[in-house]
Amino acid sequence: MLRNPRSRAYCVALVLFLAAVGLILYKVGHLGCAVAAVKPEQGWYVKLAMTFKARGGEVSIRVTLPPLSNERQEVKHERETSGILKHAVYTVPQGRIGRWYGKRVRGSQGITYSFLARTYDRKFPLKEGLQIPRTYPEDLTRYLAPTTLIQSDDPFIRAKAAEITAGARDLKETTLKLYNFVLADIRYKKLGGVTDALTALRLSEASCNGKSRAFVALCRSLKIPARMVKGLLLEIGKKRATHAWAEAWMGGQWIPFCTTNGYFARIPAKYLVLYKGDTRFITHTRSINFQWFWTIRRRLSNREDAVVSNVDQPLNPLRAWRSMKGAGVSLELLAMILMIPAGATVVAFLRSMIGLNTLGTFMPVLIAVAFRDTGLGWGVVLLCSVVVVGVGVRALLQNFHLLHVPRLAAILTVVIMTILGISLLAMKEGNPRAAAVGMFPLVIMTMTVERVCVNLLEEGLFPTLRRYLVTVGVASIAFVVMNNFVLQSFVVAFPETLLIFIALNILMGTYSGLRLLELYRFRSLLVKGGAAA
Amino acid sequence: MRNGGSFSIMGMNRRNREFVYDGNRRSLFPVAASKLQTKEALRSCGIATPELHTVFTLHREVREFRRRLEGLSSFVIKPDHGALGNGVFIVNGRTSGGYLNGGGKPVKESRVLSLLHEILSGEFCPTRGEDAALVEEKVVAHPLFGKVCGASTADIRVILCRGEPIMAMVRFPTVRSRGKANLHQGGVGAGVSLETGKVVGAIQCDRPVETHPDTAHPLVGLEVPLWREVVEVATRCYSAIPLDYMGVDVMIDVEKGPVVVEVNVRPGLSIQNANNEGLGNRLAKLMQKEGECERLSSPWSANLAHGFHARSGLRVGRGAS
Repeated sequence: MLRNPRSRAYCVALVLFLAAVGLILYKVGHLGCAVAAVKPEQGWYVKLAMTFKARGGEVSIRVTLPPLSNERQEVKHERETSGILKHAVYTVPQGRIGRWYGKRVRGSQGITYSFLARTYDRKFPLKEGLQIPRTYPEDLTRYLAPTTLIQSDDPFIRAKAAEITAGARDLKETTLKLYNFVLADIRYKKLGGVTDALTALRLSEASCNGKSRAFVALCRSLKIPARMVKGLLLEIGKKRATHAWAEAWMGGQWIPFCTTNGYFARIPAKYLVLYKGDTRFITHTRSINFQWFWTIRRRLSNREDAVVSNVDQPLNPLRAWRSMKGAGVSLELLAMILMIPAGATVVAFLRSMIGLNTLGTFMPVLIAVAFRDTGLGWGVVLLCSVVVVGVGVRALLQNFHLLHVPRLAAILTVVIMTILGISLLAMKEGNPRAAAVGMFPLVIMTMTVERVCVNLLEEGLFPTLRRYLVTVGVASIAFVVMNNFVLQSFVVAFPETLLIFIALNILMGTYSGLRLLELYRFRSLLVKGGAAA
Repeated sequence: MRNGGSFSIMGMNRRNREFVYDGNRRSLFPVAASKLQTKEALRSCGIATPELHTVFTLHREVREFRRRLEGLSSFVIKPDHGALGNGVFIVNGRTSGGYLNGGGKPVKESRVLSLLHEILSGEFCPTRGEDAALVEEKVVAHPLFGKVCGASTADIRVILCRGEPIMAMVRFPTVRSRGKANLHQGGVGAGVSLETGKVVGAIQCDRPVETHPDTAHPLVGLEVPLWREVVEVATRCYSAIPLDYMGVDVMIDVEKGPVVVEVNVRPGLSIQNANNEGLGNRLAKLMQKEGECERLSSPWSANLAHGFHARSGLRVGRGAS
């Protein structure tokens, strides 16, 4: 039986599969490796990077830090690097303030502050029939008082609140009316500067801060204690923005309302609370060219736990990981490397079983890796615009009959300029996801443009366009598979899974039958064959 | 495992796994990829190919272009490693200070020279980065082809399996394919019966067509001239370049008769649609002809025999390598 090369291939695949499964079962059963820890749990790695340039004077920076724990979020593993500055954390009733301070600071300085966060979606059921109380405990009175930005005693606001809530029977209905009004009737608009409640209501447009202030002011004018909440939207990528929403005191507890993204008595998992109150997220010494941005990634700590707990077991090829970690190989990088075979297997399947032909065999896997930094949607937009620019420049250069390589170099130069341009523009516009073009995606996008240009030369415009679209599609599928958290965690915890990928590819490699799309290509012959049979 | 339908149709996987990888010697790939090496190999076996006028391998040789091609009014410039007809330039005549291209339009000499430089810089085979430029005789195609497709660049593709012709088609260029006889680019493929030399069916972009789309010339029933000679010259290519599975491209010159222009290691599969028959069927017939009890020599034929015998319900011999 083993004389047939096909049977031999099956045997090798079977042996590899059994070896992998056997190793995993042995490790789980006898060595006590943790499988439970592999189970994914939503979590985030959040980093705040700040830079400034000082001229020898005093520098002070105050940042609102997230509370270490409350009923719906946990913050762990806080780390900060501040170079020559002194760092201290103060706890105030509204939250925590991190302060970096130095005298006679000179030159460019950087501060990073990072932590791991776990947040949960929480809905607050509101009781019907509750009325607005006449009196409140002493400590709540300040949540009823007007401020310069929340002018709850202004006649316009009072009249507006009365008008909106006319006919409301209870507290729940009152807040719902206010919420619906601010959500729908005040348009969301990114505005520079600070918008107070009155301006937001008069203009009928405001950013998240202005809308939340308007909601708080309307609540306070009706004697409902309310306050601002400053926080962060947890989305993979880089950003230069914080978010704001509001809380109202109802039935003995603070109930969250987001009048920007539409959450009534609910706080979604992607909201991270930084501070309760209407304060600036960062205050710093003036004229030090202060810059800051957030970097947010999926949290890996529980996966790290799984790997670390398994690392000391014999038979673990990743025992060396600890020393690699010392050399700066993060678990994320390791996971990415280990997922490349998964992506390659997906590409192999789509090519030899389905019949999708892409630009360059494993180009889609590389593109999928590049998408990791930008996110899928933005990655596709970025890649497409870059390719359009590249192909456009190529068409412009066509008339000069340039040699291939110098022409390509010129095209790539324009591509690099485009990517940097898009990044700068996106950063300025506050869309940091598009700006998240690291070195690696840059190289891959440039390579893609090169492949497109070479293919244009060989096949012409429309076949290349089709091939390009197929490539982006395959890359997206590879991206989804490679970023599957469960699969990633499993492969990192049990790297012998890679043997299964080899087995799968050996099995696919023995397939001599028709590809799915060939059934369509040769459909007339198939019909004929069927009729003859 | 294989049903009749999918066995008779050859897919990309089967062509690559069982024929190209297993049957074709790697050392012959560069020979087939280079028009120059193909020509040398074929010439040494006395197979007719278009006359080679000159070869440019260095940029400084381009200066000698005029001197080298003195007195020739028509010729074809080709990149040695070009594919899909890219970089091919046909010269049909001369003007003062220039040439007439394949469509009869005047082209400046400087443009022709820059094309040569482009070819030498590897413009048309980007993976290699450099190339040679061939200048060869322009084949004066049989008038029938001109009548059918309005151009002179039609050729005949013959698929050989272990030196036996198993399927053939005529490839007509179209306006859509921009004068190239390649099916991927919108050329018309007309399947030809190996026995009679008559067109049995035709396709464009894998869809059946009755007539040539540009000239409306009917295709089915068309008789290819000098068919015996065409098949014979294609078959002899196996002795020069012994690829177990290959596609041979033949053109018919009015004076010289069939000449071989190119040899393909991975001939396309649309020829099946053009002939309205799967390559697997033809291979099975070939097997039958060679005798079912014969010990099979190469791994692909073991696979082939396996599939074939499994289909016909016979036991498979253990003689396969």
